[in-house]
Amino acid sequence: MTLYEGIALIQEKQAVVLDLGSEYTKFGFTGEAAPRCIIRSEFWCTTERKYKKVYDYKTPEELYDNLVHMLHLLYFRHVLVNPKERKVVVVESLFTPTLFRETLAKVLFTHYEVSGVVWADSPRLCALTLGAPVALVVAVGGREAEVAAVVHSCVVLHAMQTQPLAARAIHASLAELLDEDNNTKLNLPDHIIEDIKVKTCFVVGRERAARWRSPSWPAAACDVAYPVAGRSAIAVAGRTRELAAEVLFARDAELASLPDIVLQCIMQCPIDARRELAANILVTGGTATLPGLKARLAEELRYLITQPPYESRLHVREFRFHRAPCPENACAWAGGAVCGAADGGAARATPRDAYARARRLPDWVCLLDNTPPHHPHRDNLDI
Amino acid sequence: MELQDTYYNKSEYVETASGNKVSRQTVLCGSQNIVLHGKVIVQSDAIIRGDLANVKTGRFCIISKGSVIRPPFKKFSKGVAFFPLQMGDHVFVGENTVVNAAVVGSYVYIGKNVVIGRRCVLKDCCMIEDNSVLPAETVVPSFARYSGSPARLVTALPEAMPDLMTEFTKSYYQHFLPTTVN
Amino acid sequence: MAYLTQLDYVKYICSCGQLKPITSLYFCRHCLKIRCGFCICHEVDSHYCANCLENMPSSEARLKKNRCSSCFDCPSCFHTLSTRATLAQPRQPVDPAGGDTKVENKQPKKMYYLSCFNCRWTSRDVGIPDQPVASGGWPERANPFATRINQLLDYYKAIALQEKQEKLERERKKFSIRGKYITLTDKTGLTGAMARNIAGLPSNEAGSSSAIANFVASQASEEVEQLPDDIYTKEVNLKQITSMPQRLASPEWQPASVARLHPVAKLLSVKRSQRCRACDHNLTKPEYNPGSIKFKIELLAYYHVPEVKIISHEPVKPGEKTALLVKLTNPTGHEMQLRLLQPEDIPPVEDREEPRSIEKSLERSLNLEKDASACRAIERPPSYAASSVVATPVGALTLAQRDDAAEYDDDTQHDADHIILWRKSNKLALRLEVTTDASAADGAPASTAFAIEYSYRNTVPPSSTAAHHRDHTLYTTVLLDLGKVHA
Repeated sequence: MTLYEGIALIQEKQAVVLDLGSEYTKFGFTGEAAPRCIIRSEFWCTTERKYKKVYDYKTPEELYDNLVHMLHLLYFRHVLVNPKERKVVVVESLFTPTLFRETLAKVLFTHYEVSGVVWADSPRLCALTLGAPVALVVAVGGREAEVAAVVHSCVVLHAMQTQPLAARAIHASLAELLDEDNNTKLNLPDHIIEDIKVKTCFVVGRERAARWRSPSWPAAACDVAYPVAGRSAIAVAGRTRELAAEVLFARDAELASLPDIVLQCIMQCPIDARRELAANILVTGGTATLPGLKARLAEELRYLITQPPYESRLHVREFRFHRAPCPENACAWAGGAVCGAADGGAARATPRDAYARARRLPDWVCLLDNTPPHHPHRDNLDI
Repeated sequence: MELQDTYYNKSEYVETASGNKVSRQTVLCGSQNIVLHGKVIVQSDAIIRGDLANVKTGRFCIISKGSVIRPPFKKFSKGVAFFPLQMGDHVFVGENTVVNAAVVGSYVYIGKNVVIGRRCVLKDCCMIEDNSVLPAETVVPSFARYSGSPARLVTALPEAMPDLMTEFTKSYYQHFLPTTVN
Repeated sequence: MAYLTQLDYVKYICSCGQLKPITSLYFCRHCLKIRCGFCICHEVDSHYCANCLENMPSSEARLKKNRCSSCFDCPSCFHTLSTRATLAQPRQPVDPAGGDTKVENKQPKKMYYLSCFNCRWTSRDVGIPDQPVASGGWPERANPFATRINQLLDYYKAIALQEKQEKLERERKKFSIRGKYITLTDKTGLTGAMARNIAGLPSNEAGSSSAIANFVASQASEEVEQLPDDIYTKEVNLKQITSMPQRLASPEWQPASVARLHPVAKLLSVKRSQRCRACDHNLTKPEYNPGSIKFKIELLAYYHVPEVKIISHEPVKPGEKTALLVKLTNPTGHEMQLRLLQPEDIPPVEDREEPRSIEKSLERSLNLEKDASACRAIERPPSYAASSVVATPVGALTLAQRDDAAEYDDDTQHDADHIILWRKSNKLALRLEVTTDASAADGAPASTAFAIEYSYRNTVPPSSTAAHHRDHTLYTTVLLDLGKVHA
């Protein structure tokens, strides 16, 4: 029995792990420590003669085409393997639109004829890279910040929090500040904004941010002249460098800042898990690499816990942070690589024939999948 | 779209026995080192530097206006040496382009305002888009379409590229006619 | 060639409904259908390095992570690095008097370093020592996270194994419990645990695997990375900080500082072969040699389907008739009969499949069902809006076969026909008339569509099983872009 299994494992082709982010796509093999490539989620569109983003779609057909082109690029330009008869681990957010999931499944199963797909959600995969039983995963990516509590490999679904506080928000705020600095509407392309952010911006401490809001501004960090081909250099003021990422921490009556949603997530978790969660925070996602972001988040959490409404309702005093064994932007991917390899060639995959029969994917929000089998409502489900 | 006829002034061009059409307004240095293999068009203000090293082209090449074909050099510890420049059949070189390559294969399309750095190797069936700069010693593989500065692979070319280039250069030659003005 | 430098004025409708220029279409000789890059199956055929044009067997490529062992890319601008040689001065004593004799003993040694001709980056910039050999031998960096990831892998593999064993055990127990009496010990596993306890062995769970026992979960800490102290006062040198593409070129390290950039081993390229999804026959298969542009199999639409080219047309005006000159080319080696139709006049495809025996037909239907499901998912109705209608001539046209010798006789035959403008070996120029709808708005894209019925002679050697049709009548729809409507 075991002998045959061994042979089967050898013959099984190494599965690939796909993390299609809104900005960057991570793609590589299971069992490896790093993705083979991290590329922008865009491809050269021959009909439109420009680079097109995968997430720019209006119709399901357009999304289908985008995914076909993107996967073609990934398989045949970067990873150089045949997609056919090979399993895929798809790293996805729990908030992925159903249309996107279904279309991706269709592309993978019918267009690329993969033998099976493991649908794995990113919070659990991130937690997997720690090996710790309880983890609070704060993923700050391209479009959205997601906070999810993972308790013994289960995501506390009702406590999940998400806000559009990520790279896009920072880019928008940075673009605004740059317009102020240069007294013109710059209309810079996204990749230049991103480059300015990566090269110059950082997140200041809590106190300093408070001083920026007060009338007496602190002495700003050094100004930078950012050269751009074909025009005069863009002035990046020290203030801009310091304040570009403040959008993530801006609080208002809705309590929707990044530290707020972290605390709210903890607050909505079962009472016996809260202390553990606060002591096992993992900050991931590309935006988490911004210098000072983690420090600021820790500072804010430790301050806000002493403030209403949290001080009376949340009795955690200690916040501890994990370091993932991989770069922050590839954390979920690394989890997928570990998960796919450990599962014995991704034994939990949805095989192609099963998909061909059902033509749908199990989804946690769908009543068909989350109604218990003996529930009286089950027979009346009309989906 | 089908190619339109291009007319030239009959007195301006010299037509050789093998069908080469070479403008008189060109600079062909060291013409004894330049071999045009037949049905090649060299348009006005083109420069071919045969004085540096041998320049050989295949059949049905088009060297457009203002382009420079210049054999590449390499620096050695003892000095500089020039290498011959070879060009295959059915090659199109666009306007105001500088070609410093060591080898240009067959069925190659080079757009206008392109700079091909020294000792580049352009394999058969490749295409360099307009306004690109290919840094020195680049190897462009077959069926690759390069663009940008520095030029990078954009997409692949269709498999029928040899036939497309053959048809293009042949019909260009056929449509390159002397003016019928009296 | 115009296909590469101009917009696609003429598009064909692929059997899957996509609109593509003829150069990106394929023709399956077995299904007798037009296919395109979208509806065929791509396969990796062979790996090669695009720089040194060296083939690499796929097993070796897998081992080397699809990277060439001798070529490197510049980590700064991603252009290919060149190896440059220098003469390393042999170390000689500082004493100037005795220097001469020693230099002759020591030959100056050739040392190599990598240099980028585009951005002038060199491997010396980041302190990589020069190498004594021209290719290879460059220091490799290890992934700093590899050991931890491997620990995790071992841990989870051990857990998966344990789960599997437990499951097996449970199943075995289920079978053994089938007897009449369910004993308490069986159900709780009490005896086993007791026996272990008596023997002084560790309990079942803990002792199962050393990988599980030795695994240390990640430890959270109070401290997080703080901003460097000098961040508010330090001048930013943009040239010292890497950009996002530079970081992501090496996903393992993602260096933030230019001083930590390392040459990136060049990613291999692949030659692809392409296969028809419906019949699994190859449509293209390249030669193995990376430098070769030849194909073993090359079933392109460009060689099998009549090519339509626009020669010229008058500006399209609403409610008026416009002259349109098109050129038709027969690329095949056989004479071709052509007829122009309206796209809606194409007869629906009838199933010509005649079941020979019940078993065969059953097998075929099973196969078909499987294949068709995949194909159908990809197929979609073509979406195009034609603003104008072509008046299609009634009669059939004959196009001579392709003749490579014909290019030498230059005379074109001018037909007396009012439709045919001229004929030249396998080419034919047609004068067509296009009627544009009166309601077409100014500036709207003008286009027209027509179908071609053409005879096709299949040259596939007849197989023993299938009844062989040699001559076929095929249809294809062509969409012509006529610029914009001029009111």
